[in-house]
Amino acid sequence: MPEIKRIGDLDISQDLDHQHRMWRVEHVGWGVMVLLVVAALLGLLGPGPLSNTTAGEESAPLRATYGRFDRYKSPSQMTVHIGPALVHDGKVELSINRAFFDRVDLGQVDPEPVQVAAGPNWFIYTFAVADASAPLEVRFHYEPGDAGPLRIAVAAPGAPPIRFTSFVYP
Amino acid sequence: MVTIFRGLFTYALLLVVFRIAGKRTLAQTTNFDLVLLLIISETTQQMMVDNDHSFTNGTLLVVTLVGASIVLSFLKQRYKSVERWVEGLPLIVLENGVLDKGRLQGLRMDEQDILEAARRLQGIERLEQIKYAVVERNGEITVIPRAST
Repeated sequence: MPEIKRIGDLDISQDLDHQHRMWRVEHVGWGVMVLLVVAALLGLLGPGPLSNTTAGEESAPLRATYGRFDRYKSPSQMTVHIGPALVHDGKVELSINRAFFDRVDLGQVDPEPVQVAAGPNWFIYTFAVADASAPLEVRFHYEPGDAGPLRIAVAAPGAPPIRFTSFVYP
Repeated sequence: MVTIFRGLFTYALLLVVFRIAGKRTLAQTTNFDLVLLLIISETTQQMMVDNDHSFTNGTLLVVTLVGASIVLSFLKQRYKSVERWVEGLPLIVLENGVLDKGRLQGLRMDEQDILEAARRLQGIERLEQIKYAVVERNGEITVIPRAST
């Protein structure tokens, strides 16, 4: 029990020094809460302006737009931009590392692939391309199933592979 | 295993957040605060339970939360500083009819709160009829009237 003192006619455990310390801690706590909200609005704790980024050069035939920061079991999306140079015979092949699929619950792939082949380290998606002169965008919708760094590698024949990491908050 | 960590983290988070929210937040519950509490309870419930609605998970969570509460009560009993930080201390905000405005401001309370408690608890009409007003550890206001002359 805190120490009880006589103040005036009252027996009470009032401690002004502790009260002032408590108020200082409260104010620091409010500051931390404000910082958390600001960080979330900026996208440092999930989707937002500072989270959205692109892996790969702007002029490269293969690029991926993704979120630097994701959240556990929260809907997320990766968009792979494929240049016309990678289209062969009206088809494009896109390989994604298997470790990515091991750590996410994959939802819709848009557009739907015509074929998916599973290898020991890669899943190879084949997409039909209607207009070989226009770039293709493929969207992978997923929910991270584990917290921590999510390492993603995307490759296509004729382009250097791109590797990037998304951090998944618990 | 994960369930226990989720339960303990949620318990600690709520303890810290409600502590830094201050005494006023705990005691002066308005209708809107009640709605807010319901939303918080729904949010934390999802945070703890996730997708596991099994009887085992529920039992583990209840045991973890009640266990954490028991451990905290032992710690409060054993260590004075834990009790001070977790429960806070009472604070005299009015003495012999004179308000301590600095302390009231620190607690985010005002004269109205004291008068309201005085009317409700003691039927007191004016500040000068109050000998002591104390904001207790749970944020409630205790009013001690001056002896009638």
